[in-house]
Amino acid sequence: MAIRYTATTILWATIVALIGPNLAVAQQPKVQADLISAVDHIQPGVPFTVGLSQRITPHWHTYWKNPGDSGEPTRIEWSLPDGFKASEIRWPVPDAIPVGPLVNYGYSDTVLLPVTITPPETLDTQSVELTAKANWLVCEQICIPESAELKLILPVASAGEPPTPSEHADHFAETERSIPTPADWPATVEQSSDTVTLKVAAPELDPNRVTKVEFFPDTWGLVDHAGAQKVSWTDDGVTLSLKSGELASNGIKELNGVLVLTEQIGNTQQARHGFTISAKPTGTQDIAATGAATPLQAIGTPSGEGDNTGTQITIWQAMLFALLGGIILNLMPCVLPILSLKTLSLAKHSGSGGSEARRSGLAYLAGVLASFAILTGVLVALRSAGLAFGWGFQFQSPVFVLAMTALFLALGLSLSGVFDIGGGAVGLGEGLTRKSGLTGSFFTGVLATVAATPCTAPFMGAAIGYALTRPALDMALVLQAMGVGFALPILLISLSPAARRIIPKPGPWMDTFKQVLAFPLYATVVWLVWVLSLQAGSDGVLSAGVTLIAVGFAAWLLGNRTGQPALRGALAVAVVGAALAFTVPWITSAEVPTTSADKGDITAGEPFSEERVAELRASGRPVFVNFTAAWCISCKVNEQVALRTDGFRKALTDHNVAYLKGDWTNQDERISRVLKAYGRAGVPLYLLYPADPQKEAIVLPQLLTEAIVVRHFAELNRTQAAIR
Amino acid sequence: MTFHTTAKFAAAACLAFVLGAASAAAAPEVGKPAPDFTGVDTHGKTHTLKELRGKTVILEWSNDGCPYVQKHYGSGNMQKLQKDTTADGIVWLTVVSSAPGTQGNLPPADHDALMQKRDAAPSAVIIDEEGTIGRTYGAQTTPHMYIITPDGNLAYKGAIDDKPTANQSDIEGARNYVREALEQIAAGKPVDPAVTRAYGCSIKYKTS
Repeated sequence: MAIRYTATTILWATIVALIGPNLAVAQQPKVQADLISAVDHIQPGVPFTVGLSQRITPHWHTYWKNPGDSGEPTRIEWSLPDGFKASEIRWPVPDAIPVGPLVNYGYSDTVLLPVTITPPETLDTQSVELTAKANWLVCEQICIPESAELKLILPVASAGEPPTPSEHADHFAETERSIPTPADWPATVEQSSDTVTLKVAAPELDPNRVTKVEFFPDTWGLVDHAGAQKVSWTDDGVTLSLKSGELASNGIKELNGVLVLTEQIGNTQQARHGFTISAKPTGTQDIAATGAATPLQAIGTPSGEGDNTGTQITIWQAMLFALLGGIILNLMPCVLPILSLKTLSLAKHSGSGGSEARRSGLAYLAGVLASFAILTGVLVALRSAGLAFGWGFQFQSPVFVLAMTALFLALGLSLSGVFDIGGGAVGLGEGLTRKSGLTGSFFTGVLATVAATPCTAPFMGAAIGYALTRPALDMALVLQAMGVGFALPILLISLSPAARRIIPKPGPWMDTFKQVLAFPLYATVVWLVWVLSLQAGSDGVLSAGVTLIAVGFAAWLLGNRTGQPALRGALAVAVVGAALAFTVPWITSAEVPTTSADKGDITAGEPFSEERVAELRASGRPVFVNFTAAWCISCKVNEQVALRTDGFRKALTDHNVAYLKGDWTNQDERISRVLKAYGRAGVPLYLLYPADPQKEAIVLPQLLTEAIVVRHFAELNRTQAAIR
Repeated sequence: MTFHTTAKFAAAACLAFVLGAASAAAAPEVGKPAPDFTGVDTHGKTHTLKELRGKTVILEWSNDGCPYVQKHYGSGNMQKLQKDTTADGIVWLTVVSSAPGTQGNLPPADHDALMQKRDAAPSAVIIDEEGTIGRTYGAQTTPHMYIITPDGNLAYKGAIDDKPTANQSDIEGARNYVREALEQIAAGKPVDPAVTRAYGCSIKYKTS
């Protein structure tokens, strides 16, 4: 097949070169056309659907009813038996196809153009013959008009036998979904010198679920086909700023077209829905509902009734990814010290019967699952409040980071032996009762979950991205699966005596090990203070310092063996409370510092904005965007390993790639929206936008190496070279 | 802190808007001065719009491999229009903006031979391999027609006629917009329609 194709291409090129292009038309057709029917037989008076199926040679395309800047729509001329009527082509949603500086509207690969045929009320023949002459223009770089005489013979059934689906029924059903639905959204159009603003009032549309908005005008002239379409969302719906077409200066009385919304389903799958829109100039629109389909239903979550075909990720896959992600999360630097502690406490049970270890493991699992359930609840609440959110979102709050700083210092001091955390919150206290041991295990689970949230492990991006777009129950299932995965390693150790035997016998070494483990926690404190410095500047650092001293003082109080324990406890709480009462208001009112760190070096990156990306692409440069946050450790690791190196610097220059940084350290609606558009709920996200603005961005893996980045940059260039 | 972030984004957005507006080349508007151009024809002669002031100028974008161009040359429609107009002292420039290696890009001598073979009669064939003139005029298809009046204003831009097909049989009975516009100009009437949708193959522009 491939060889034959190549041979044809060579032959083609030779003929074109030698004889001239007039003979090109005599070549093998670029479109395989067939006339097919959705039904096996027809019935008098009952309308049925037939269609022109076009299988188009790769990289070639045929045209929509408005072909865009050049080209010609496909046409069908029917020769039907007496009394039969054919509808116009019911055009499926087209693609915008860029051709140099122009944009065409049309179809690639395959398309089915359905037509409804209405037979007369009475038929006295056994079968009917439908004949059509189809004409179309097919273009790649060059254009070829093609045509075909097509025939379809269908048996006629008596009045009692309703039409039955044919072998093509699925193809028709699939096409039906991409035919625009009449929308009853009131739409208005406003004009300024070179802009046509189309406002569609559709308050029920959820911008978080729509990743792309396109408008295809029905006719030429009012809107420039090749102009950028700027999309903005308001509470009332969506607004598109379009470039005026050549006839717009005469005044627009009506703007008709198809609004195409792309919905993200899972991480990789997208669905496009078309809605016919008729916009009138402001003040003249007819607000009366037309009784059309509710657009909300049309763009709603695909129901499970068989129309959910394709390769989108299922709830089971999402749960599996979540489970794997949860397991890998254990290895993240923020979690590992806490888990080591848990492992140690389990080691203590290695000698005993193991039932205690089992219970402890299960309590830990319960703690993790409860935390994930609370997290789910918070996410659902935030989502219903319409707020932007995502994995690790709580780290966007400086108050939360401050609290974490205090918590990690307290844990570290406890490990260093300054004091024992009351009730053995980390399950480390000596002489624990069984009850407090279980409580301790439970809270270790909670603590581990809290510590894990700034880390995104591989697989988690897909699973969480999926979960966040789903109803609450699905979200809960996915997050619980992640919790199970997260708890799994410790659970296995606690359940399996064999695994516990691998851990060395308890002894004095454990104290030393504990003291050593304090240091990763101190390191975490330093990192969190640095995060605060980016969120709240020097005020943040000072607040953290005050809080940390209070925590240190409280720890010393608790560890001191003199005096009344209750008094010491109360005093400790009072000191920390007073410090927080002072620092929390301070930190919330602090100004975000303008960072000027390592400016001048290209690896510092320019600040991200969608406008800047569009502008750079328009100037012919590919754009690499690093969505990151100061509190995201995976992001920082990737930056060190892959994005601060000389190799990366060289690749940027060699391939003329612009480097932008989207900093999500603080809450940022616009970045949240981009993350959502790519099915992500958190950072890191790495996007490589090809220079061609019509091309989708390439998503790079969440664990980066310099080689991966350089390879993607190089491929980008190759593809560009191949196109031209 | 929100204020700072918002301000930063607003600044970036403003900048993007200003730069975007500056880089977008606006297509010329009818009734306004047509942009000047400098083009070299198949004989190496340079033509500028400025020098042609005082004469009506027709620009025809062409690509001999395009079925829509073949429709009008194969039927003799384009040649007839060229002869009728140039006989009236109108300057007819056929512009070929096909980039090197693309359809329609020919050596100068081949263009001349082709014109001779077709019995075509443009005043000159301008070779615009870089696409500079094409992009300045916002030319999109072949054919794409422009009429510039003697005072240097753009009077018409768009299709040659109202039948956007590649079938020669559609020429008969079609409304020839170029002829209509020339008649209206001659009668001192406003040109209507002055802007129509050009139809045909996309121009094979050089990609920067």
